[in-house]
Amino acid sequence: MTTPRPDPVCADSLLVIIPALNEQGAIRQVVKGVHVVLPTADILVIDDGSSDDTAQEAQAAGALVVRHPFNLGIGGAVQTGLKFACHHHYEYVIRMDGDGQHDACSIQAMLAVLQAHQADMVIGSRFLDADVDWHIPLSRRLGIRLYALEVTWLTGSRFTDTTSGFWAMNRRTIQVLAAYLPQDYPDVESRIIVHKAGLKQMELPVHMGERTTGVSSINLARSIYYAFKVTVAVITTALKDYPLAVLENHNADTVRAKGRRHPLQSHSLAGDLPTDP
Amino acid sequence: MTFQLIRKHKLREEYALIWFAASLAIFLLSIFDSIVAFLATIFAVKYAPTLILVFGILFCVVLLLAQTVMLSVQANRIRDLAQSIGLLEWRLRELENQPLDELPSSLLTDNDRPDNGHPLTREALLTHEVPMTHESQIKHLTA
Repeated sequence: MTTPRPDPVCADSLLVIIPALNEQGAIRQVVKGVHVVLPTADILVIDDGSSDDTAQEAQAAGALVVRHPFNLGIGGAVQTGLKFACHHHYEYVIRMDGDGQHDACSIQAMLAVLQAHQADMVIGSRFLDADVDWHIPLSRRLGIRLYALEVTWLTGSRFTDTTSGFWAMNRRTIQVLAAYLPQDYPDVESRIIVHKAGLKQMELPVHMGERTTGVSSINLARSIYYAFKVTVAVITTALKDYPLAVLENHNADTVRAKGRRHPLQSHSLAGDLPTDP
Repeated sequence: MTFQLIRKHKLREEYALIWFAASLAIFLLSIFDSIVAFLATIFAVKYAPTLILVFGILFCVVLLLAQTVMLSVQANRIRDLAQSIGLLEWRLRELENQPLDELPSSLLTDNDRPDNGHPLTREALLTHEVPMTHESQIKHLTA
């Protein structure tokens, strides 16, 4: 059934989180692919309210499976994974997609960069070395360029692929994003949150294949509306505060919530805090 | 109308208050229509009923904003609850599958350990850790 987890206080403990929505055709291959490359890593599939057998397939492939009672969106799913990692004290987290477009072979390179450059977050980029090995539709490429420009402008450092969902994170980034990851467009906005939290992020060129099965969650027909919404979300993200004091409070397991909780303190992790006074 | 809604548990008292105030205001204005005329002279409005419309719209806009804020707060809470349910469910499955002495130590946070130092029974851990709803408790007992 579930794989036994290694000692969670081990310094190199690694969790691979894979948010999945109706990916029953691809998820087994993805999980197995990660397992071949990283046999010691734990793999957590977050089934974001799928209507098919995604959860069963993932479990059969040997992943840990957390299921949402209903669809929360990609950001909500990744956040669940990060809360899990936070709570079980994983040192590093990889986040990849459940449709097979991210190559598990790149994970080790990303982790190496994370450690070698003392970065807090490494993002796999499709465009860093201009070697695009599959044709992305023009409208989507324009969108990606637009977000990259916005994020570059807002953070002051250059980003090429802000819509990439292939991340490697260390403990500090896990804690920040577990608390503040937005629900709808986490890929673009997380760059700004990580930047505002004073963490160091880097891009690494990776290959991304075409998705094997399933339908992308981004509908091209609505891309202009989408682009506008993302832009608004990016700007509002940049305007918000991300106080770290709240996080430290939260991460001490024994600390109970005192008084009224800040509305942005978005976590009552399993068994961590009393849900209501 | 407001009374009826409260009586039938469809409206919480905290929100009912604002509707009471609103209906009272309309009631007073319709009885003493001189108030409107008086306000119109203060605000230098030529056609007095416009004032009622303006304040009505203002009231609606403020109410809408307040409700959107409440909605956002609740959406965040629902998300947190859904995530907690997912994580708790995973934990519950893990607890039911494995004997307690083989539990990874990380599953037992400081909050879980009773202060008297007695070893936890499986039942104690389950009831202590998972705040069950009535339905799930029944399900759990029959399973």
